[in-house]
Amino acid sequence: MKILIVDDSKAMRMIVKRTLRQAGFGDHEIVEAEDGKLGLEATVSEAPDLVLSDWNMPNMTGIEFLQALRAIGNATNFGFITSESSAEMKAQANDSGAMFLITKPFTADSFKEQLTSVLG
Amino acid sequence: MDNLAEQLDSVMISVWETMIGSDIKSTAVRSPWKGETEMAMMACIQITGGWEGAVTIECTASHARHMAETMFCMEPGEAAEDEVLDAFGELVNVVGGNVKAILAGSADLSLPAVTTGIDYRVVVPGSTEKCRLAFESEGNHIRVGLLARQA
Repeated sequence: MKILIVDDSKAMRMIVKRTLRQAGFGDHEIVEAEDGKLGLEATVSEAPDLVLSDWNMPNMTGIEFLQALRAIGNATNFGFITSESSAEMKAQANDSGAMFLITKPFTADSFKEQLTSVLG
Repeated sequence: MDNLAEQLDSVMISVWETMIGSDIKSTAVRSPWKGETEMAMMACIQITGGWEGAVTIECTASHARHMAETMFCMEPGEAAEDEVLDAFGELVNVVGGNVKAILAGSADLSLPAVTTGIDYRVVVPGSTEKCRLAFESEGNHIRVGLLARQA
């Protein structure tokens, strides 16, 4: 399977990749994008099986990215990995079609819990 | 340590453990500290909305580099300057996001800003210092500050 990681921080994309390996998902193909706008383009061009996106990014935020994706009829599995996790954000993410919201800092266990149903 | 300081202390320890794989322990805020005589790095993120203020994290530039290289699994001296700034900015982003969750659920978080310098002064107009904590990691001093502004 192919996973698209969208985060404006290279360090965080590195940590997400490391945590995917620690959670047992290291065999999947990984592609990356640096903000929501590039993430939207990559989702269309790369057709990933799962998008893991930050929320707070320049150019296009994660929630704007998800809403733009759904607006063009793209139903790719989508989850947020974000340092913010208010009840309001969780509701907005859910209403917009996100499968889950993982809060930073995260552990391999939290990845296993949320991603196993998608990645097997 | 009051309740807010305890929660900030807990967030810092958790972030360092999970993002860097490094144990940090609370220590007294040193004055003077190395940042007054040696190149230091400071990351700041602002919270606006129901609660207004900022979170700052500071340490020496050499330790910021060490942490970035640990996060990137790089050898000493291998990280580019923008990679160090990116990694340090992400630390304050994650700490700031968790502080926002503690203080103001519906507020907004800015993008992080990072700067380097010697003996600088950080000013967030209209704010007062709510708390300042210090941590020790591998002999290095890390300072975190929480500034509150009247909403």
